Amino acid sequence: MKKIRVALVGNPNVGKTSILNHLAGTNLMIGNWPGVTVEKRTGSTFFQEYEIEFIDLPGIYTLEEVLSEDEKITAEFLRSEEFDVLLNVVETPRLERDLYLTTQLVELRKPMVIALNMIDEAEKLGYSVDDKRLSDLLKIAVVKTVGRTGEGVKALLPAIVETYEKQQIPQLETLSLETLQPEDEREKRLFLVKGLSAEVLQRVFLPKRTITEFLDNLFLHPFFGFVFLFIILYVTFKLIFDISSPLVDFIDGFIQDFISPLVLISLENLGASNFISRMISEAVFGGLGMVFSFVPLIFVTYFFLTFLETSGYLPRVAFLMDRFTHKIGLHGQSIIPLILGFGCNVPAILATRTLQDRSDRLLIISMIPFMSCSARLVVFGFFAITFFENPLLIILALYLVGIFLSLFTAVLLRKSLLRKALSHFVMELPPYRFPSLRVLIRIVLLHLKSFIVRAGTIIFVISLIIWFSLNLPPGVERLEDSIAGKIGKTLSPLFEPIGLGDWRITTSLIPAFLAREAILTNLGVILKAEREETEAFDPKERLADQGRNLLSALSEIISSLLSPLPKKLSLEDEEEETSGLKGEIRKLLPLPSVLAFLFFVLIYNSCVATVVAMWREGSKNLALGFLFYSFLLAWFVSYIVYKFFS
Amino acid sequence: MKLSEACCGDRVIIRDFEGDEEILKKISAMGLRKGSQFEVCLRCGRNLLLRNHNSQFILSRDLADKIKVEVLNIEGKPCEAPCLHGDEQSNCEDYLKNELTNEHSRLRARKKRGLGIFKKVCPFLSKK
Repeated sequence: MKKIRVALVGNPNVGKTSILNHLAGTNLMIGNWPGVTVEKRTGSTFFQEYEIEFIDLPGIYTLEEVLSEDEKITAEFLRSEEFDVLLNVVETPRLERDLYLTTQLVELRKPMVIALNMIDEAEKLGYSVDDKRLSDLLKIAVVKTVGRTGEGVKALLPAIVETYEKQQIPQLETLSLETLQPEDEREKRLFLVKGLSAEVLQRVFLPKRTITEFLDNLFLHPFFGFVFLFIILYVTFKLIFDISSPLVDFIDGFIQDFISPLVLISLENLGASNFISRMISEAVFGGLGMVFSFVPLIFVTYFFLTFLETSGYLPRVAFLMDRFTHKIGLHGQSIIPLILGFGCNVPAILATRTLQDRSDRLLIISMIPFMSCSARLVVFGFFAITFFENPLLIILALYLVGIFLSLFTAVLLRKSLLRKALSHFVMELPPYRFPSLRVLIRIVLLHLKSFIVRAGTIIFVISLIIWFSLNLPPGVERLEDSIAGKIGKTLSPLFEPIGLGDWRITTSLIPAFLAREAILTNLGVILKAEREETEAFDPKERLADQGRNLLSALSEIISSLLSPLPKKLSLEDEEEETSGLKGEIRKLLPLPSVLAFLFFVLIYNSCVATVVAMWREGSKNLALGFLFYSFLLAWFVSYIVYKFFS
Repeated sequence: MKLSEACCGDRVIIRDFEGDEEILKKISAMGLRKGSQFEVCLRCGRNLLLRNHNSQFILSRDLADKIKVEVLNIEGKPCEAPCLHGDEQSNCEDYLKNELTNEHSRLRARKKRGLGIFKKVCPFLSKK
């Protein structure tokens, strides 16, 4: 089977990845801001007798001046790598802007197809597009598409095959620019683009005020813009907790109180050895089950984060925040990677590739690990729900402390190692685009899948290692004498001054370096191994209990959604419950130690994936230096918190 | 005039770029080109928000200093942070600060006036 390599090229945020998702059935992340794609990604499909491989390249405005890392990837690819066809994706409402790049691509002398994307938006804005005229002028295939819905996208496949077979290289005689001076060349190109655009695009009517103009008058207002920002963040956090926390409690109870004992009894009835039964019950359900119970929290968090990302609100936040960030030597665009850091620090670090200045990049990379990612949210959520009456306020406070420490680090670096004058700021604001529920759910499921895969692989292995280290050497009677106990005890003196001297806590912290959620898994495994089940297990009665719990969780969600204030938990009722893991953890840690523990988890960069990303995108010194700095800062802040609340 | 001197609500046409820096070429490729018309929608902090019929740009003032424009019409419509041509008062922070200072002086004047009337009505209560 013959293979066609197609390079997807275009300006940033024109819908290249959306088109690829429709063409190749890939599930790549999309967003509504310039710079979502910062690395080369591929997808393949079969059409007629061809295998067509698509290479999605980061967006680029011009091939003349390549300033940022993501643009370098595209320029390098176009100059030095082999491909058969160029698929130039053009945002139809901004045709004149995009044709500037098209005229540069023409000079590569490669077969080319143009996708006139977002044709629906152009029509709403009153444009009439003559695709046949553009096709005649350039002598190549031009296809109208809507990347959001997939309309017209499949027509690209026969166009690509035909272009490849006939080797349709764009012909434009007026583009013989070799003899001109570079300055004249640019001028001529601009005139040519203007002429082309005027030939193809005509405004039939002028629309009334667009929704983008209306919303921007509210969201970009110098004062009310911040009020709306605060309201949006508050509502987002409130909905995240109101919807997810009752479900998290329900799933935790379902796994620990129903599934885990049921599996244990079933295995014993089947004649499995005590060792195997305990391993499955304690390592799999005691630890891993605890992480899986946070699936609703991850789902709801990413749902709202993805909505903000795909609606086009994030660049507006960049504009608003530039008033403050420029005072510490950063422009507002740096806010976007920082906000992405609330989802996961690793893609946030990759998103800094859109920045032009290396010093700015290193500074923002050093700020990102202080942004509480979803893995830390899982840990915060568990401890906040277990120990505090008002979990939402505790978590908000932790987030704010993280933001404050990232700013503190930025000021520190700007005044010392990364001293530099403030760079200029230019950014295009995309129109607001409200994603369909289907697209939102698809992206959220991608995030959820990566969380479950992580839990099913790394965290599963960690919980097995922890369980074995708790049961070795063979025949060990007291857990303190096991390998895990000895390691924990060795490290205890280091954590004793911050109230975390208990070996069970220190043992949980060590493997958390591989994945932060592993802290909960480890605590779950250790406490489950210590716990002795005394209650008789009646499956029918327990199942009925779970049904009642589910109904009460649903009614709790409805009641908290109706209340404008954050939900308060009644800890008195829960304190009576001492059999569950939450009860065990409550007995293990006093309140000052819990606070010190939360601050330590917030500040210490305990995630190997983040360290690797910092190393790759920044430098070895940055990654290792930051690891040391974050440990010192975490220890120092936790010490102050512990002493203050003791 | 420079783009940085344009006021909120002004419709301008880009005439030229000063200098030959790489970033100016990129700005041009982004759509801010000679002959393009834009409305200055907002000036806030160090940034300007420019809009034409279907694009919006944020541009910092140091870059706006390098873009020569011609004002097509001075809209004079109310916006969040109006400014005056050729005046130092060129962004919303300065504007708000200035407005607050004016408000303070108005209040002080009112207080003084109030005290003046008070003195006239009750001269025996005023300190000598």
